[in-house]
Amino acid sequence: MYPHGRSLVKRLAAETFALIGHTSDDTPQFVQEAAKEENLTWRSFFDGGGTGGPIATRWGVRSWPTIYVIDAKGVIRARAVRGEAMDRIVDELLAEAKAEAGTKRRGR
Amino acid sequence: MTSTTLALAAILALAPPAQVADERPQADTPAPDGPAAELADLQQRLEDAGGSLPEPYAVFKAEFEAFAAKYTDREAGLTAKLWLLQQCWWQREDGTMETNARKRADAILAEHPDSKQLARMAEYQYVFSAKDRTEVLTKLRSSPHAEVRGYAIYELAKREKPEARETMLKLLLKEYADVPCRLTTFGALAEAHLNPHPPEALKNGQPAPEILGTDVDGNPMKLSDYRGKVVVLDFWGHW
Repeated sequence: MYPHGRSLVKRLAAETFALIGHTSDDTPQFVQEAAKEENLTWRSFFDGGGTGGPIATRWGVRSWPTIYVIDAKGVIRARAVRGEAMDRIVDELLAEAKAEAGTKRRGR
Repeated sequence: MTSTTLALAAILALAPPAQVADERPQADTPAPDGPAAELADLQQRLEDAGGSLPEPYAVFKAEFEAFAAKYTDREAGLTAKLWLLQQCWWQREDGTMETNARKRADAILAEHPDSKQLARMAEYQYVFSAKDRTEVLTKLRSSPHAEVRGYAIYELAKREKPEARETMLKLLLKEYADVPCRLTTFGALAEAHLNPHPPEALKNGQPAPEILGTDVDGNPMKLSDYRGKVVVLDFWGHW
């Protein structure tokens, strides 16, 4: 995910887009160092240090990576997408959000 | 992921045992000395050699055994014994993992029944047979330390039938809510296990459930902070 995450964040820097991580690593320090080494710029939830943290437990996460794509209204729109499929759905949802914003403006 | 690879991921995610400060604070000795310093050195060399993997294990086993024997009644000696227990994992393929793990666990329980470090034993429960695991965890429930008892109840609960499981999780919520487990609490863990999001609430078209948490720097963070943006939520691990 890192190389793809990096390119996604870079490509969409000007868009209303956010990549949010959730980490099951043991310590915040470990994640901070990894993020520095790998040049990861996005924020991550730290989940208590381990694979069975409270957030991962509530979301039923049992394999990594587990990915959700959420639209601008906060609705889950895709899961388990990676690579180009992820790029495509993100682009679609960005276009959708823009179109809706446009409709609202015109409606006023 | 199979349960084996999951267990392996869990093992690889475990940092080497934390360095244990020596039992009694010795105000007059400025630099760490004695067993704690010796153990820290051993752990550092292990880490430099590649951590808890089969090859370093084979090389360091004898050193950890010797250290555990030399400081058998000290907390540092127990740390070494717990490392050796954890490393039984590498014997799973020759069929001796469970027998060795039980032997080591019994010795540890007999020699260090009151140590707080026994919480690690609850954490390393994947080296035991199902029967041994239940027996060992049940023994840990009589520890004088809430952290050890909480861990034992939590690990036992996960394997119980729904009704008993719920009773135990509620016990954690009632009596161990603020007791730390790793970097969270038994209360937060029990709460999550008692109220998981139903699978249908996580399907496409459903509003994403709120996540209230903290980021890696300890700042509060919530999923709804990002409403208005398209979000990729990525559950990952760097292990």
